[in-house]
Amino acid sequence: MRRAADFIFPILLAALLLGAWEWAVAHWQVPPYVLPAPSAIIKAFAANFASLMAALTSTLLITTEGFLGALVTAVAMAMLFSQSRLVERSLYPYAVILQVTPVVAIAPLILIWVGFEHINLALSLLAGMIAFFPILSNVSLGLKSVDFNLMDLARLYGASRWEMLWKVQLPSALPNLLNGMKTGGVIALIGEVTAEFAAGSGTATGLAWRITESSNRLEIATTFAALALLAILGIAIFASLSLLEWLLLRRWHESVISRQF
Amino acid sequence: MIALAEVSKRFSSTQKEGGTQALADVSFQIGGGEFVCLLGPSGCGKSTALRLAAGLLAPDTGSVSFPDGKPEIGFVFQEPTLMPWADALTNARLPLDLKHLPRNEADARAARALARVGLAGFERAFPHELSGGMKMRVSLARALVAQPKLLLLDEPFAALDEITRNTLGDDLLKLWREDGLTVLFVTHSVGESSYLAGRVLVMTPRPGSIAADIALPAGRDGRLAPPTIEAQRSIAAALNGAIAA
Repeated sequence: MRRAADFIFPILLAALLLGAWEWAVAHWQVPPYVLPAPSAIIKAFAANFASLMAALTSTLLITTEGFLGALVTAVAMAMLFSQSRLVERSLYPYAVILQVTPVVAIAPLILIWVGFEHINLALSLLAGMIAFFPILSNVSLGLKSVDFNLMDLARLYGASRWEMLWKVQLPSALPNLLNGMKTGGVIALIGEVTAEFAAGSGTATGLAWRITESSNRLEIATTFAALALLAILGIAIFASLSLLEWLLLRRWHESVISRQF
Repeated sequence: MIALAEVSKRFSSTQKEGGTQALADVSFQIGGGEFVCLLGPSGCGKSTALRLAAGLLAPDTGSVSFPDGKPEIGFVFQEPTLMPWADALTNARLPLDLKHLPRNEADARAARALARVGLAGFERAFPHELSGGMKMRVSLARALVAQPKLLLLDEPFAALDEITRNTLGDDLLKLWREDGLTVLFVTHSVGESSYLAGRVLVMTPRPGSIAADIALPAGRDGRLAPPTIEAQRSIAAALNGAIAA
């Protein structure tokens, strides 16, 4: 019953708001280049369906590539950090610098270095750079927060560094990894969109480019359609990573197990 | 089985100049098949002594030696210290996995160890599905699975209620007798030490050293008789003396 209510009320609210929006635009005769009615947005979506879907696919692919690249490098680096304090102390400040420097500011450099002929690679690099840090810091924390007694016990039975990492530290850091992935996945999309805006005209083919292009031409209904698709894409990324988290932790982790007593 | 000779250990500390002297000049020997309790007030370095015996810490001075060669050691912590992501069988199997035993054999031995501590049928249960006492039993099964000669326990039942504590104590005595184990059991409870041990080593407050070595009356090895009031009195007197000194 409560699960149903979780869906019904937000949907009712959305219907109400969209209705009010439709009515307000008609009533005050708002020009479509300022605020198009929901019906006009749906029409624009249908008219540009093929090109919007192509843009969606492009954004999704580039974001996914960037995210997976960030995932692999961040986990590898966190594992390296866990093995050597020296490496951690030397590299961590640079990881922080990478994170605090806004992607828009680095984007022109990356675009020039990678070259506009490899625009998708440059965009996924930028998406990956922003997704990298939350994964790194979460996994690092997880690898460090392992029960010391459990590590002592494994050592007592002759565990090698690799076994310690594989059998004790990594499983123990799994909740942190999944949490970092959720944050990283969502902001990879933000990074991708920002990078597309920075790349500017004619080269990028994703949703952000469609937004720039259609708003320049005052086709605001198309802008809204692209914007809606971006929001849906963000929700889908978050939802699928949350599902992954639930699937992997449901048997044992406090955050997801349901209490039986 | 194990001998500590003039062992001392100091921990460096950021709060205190020169660090903390945990152990000073600790010497004792434990023969094969003995059940020895290491008794002392909290913070006296009992756990440090146990970690030194296990080889998890190295002494600053003195030595830890095994006259009959280094035995297989089982260790039980105060907390169950289980892997929350793994079921009881996988937890109990950990020492065998780390010794690279074939999976079939490791599974069979872990299942047998769980059955011996009264957890047959709970192989697939996760730690969060088990009570405190049952978690401690999994921990005990894990310590026994590699068939140790020497079992080291660090206040293993301190966090449990009295009824569970007594049952687990009886079960531990049974396992000790059946397997011919040598047991070093750290506790701060006079009652527990008098009930379980054939011999009690009483420690002074920090820096810890051995203040008294009390052999409990002969005939107690069968553990058929309840601990005598005299035994408890002599242990308590030694402990009070050690604390006052």
